[in-house]
Amino acid sequence: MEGHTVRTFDGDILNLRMRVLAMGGLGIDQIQRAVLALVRGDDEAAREVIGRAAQVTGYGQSIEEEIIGLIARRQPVASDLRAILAIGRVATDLERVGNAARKIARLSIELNSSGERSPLPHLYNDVRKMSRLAVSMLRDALDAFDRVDLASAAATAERDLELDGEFQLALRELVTYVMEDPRHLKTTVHTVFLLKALERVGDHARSIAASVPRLARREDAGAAGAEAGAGVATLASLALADHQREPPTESRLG
Amino acid sequence: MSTEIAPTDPNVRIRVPRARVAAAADDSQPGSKIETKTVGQVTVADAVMTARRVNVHYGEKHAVKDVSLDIGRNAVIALIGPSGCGKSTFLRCLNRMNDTIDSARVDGSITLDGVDIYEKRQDVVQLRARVGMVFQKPNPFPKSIYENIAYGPRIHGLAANRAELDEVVQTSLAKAGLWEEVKDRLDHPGTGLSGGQQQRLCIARAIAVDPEVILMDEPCSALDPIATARIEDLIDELRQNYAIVIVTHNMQQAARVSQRTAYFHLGELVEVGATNQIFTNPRHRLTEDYITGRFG
Repeated sequence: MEGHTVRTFDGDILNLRMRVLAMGGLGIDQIQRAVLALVRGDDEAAREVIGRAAQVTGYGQSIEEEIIGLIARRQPVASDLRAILAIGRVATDLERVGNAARKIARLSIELNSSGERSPLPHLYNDVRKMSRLAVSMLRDALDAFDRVDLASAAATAERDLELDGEFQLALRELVTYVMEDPRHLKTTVHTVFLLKALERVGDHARSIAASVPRLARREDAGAAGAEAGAGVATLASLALADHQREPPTESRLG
Repeated sequence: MSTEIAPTDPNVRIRVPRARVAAAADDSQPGSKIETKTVGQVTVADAVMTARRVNVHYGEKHAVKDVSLDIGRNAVIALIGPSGCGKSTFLRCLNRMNDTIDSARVDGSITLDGVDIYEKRQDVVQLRARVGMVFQKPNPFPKSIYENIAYGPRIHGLAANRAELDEVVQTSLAKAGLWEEVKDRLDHPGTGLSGGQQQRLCIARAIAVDPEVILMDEPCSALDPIATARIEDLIDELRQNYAIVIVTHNMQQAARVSQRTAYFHLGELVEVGATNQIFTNPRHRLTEDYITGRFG
């Protein structure tokens, strides 16, 4: 993105990206702490996560203000405009990651207060596994965003399938459990929300990865293997994968 | 037989037929092949002017290199590019303003309604009435507002009597959005108007002789933002009746007023396309670099 005649513009864009990365770091930390609070049954830690959720939202708002300022002052066009809007989308995804962390923390407190621990103790293994997957996807997506690495972004987006698989697996277990003993329905529903929140984190990681080609200038897109069409093709295939995947998830929930 | 031409950017390669360019009148048809390095569609369906393989030399300096471009009716085309890229020189070819420069040599063909404007028989004064020009600095004649407008129609015999001349003056000033402001002081000197009004007076003067094309060389660079906005608004209205070619350094202005944008670089026409496409998705790297402010 560097190389404008007006060098402060480069500085502005760099600053914006740094803020998004900082926001991403906070989001990852929030997810990890929320899951830890859940697994340990630590309400204090869960409340801390909920308290810090406003920080993530604050980042999102300040990034949006900066983007509005940049557009007003610099009137970016073409790849600059696309890149700045893509950065805004990444910030939106990270805000939702923050919301997911808050949701997990809240559910953790509820599950604790219900007196009954998780319906299946070993389900926590699934939660841990899903959270590890989601967090590593998020980290890789942000890393690809930082380095504008199209190949790594595409690979990260692919991994969402794995996370979705884990989610389906855990759902099936919960269905079996609730059929055996309907009294556990409430906790089971809470657990489903919990797992769904983690699954959504993976979706946001994929969405962040999908934004990376928009940060690439024409030469970068060319270097990654093809003409300008390459970036578009990647986005299109991601969008397609999205359509193929969403319906089964929703129907199983509904 | 075809050949690969690598323009300034190795990423952009276009296959073009090597065949000699046909007579200008023939390749003004849309879809016909034109030998050009330019990215994008240089032709339009409804062209009032066509330029084919235009080269301009100022002595040793090769200022415009092999430029082919159509000027469409009822549309605004903006010529953009860094200083010295040849955009103003190309603009001046369109009404033979370069004739006034001794060292300038223009090759290639430029037609207006299918007729070569560089033909020997061409009356240059007549040509400049049909292809009017508005300059960077407003340059009203040191005469009254009325005389500024009436001069052209009078020498071109466009008005048979005083009543007709009055009519032409009024409609021209009205079209330029100046009538209401000056109707009570038509005998005042044109130079007494504000900068923005003077520029609109010059536009009224250009349209008084009933042109087909209006050339504008940075018409707003000497004006404040409000006067600029009025001229831009006027350009959009004038488009209903004229073809307009505007050279501008202000890229936001090009984006606002034009339907097509042509990007010049070191004398070459690098890319031409719909203004929206040029400013959102330029195809040539040089265009992208220029509009995003990476050099210039």
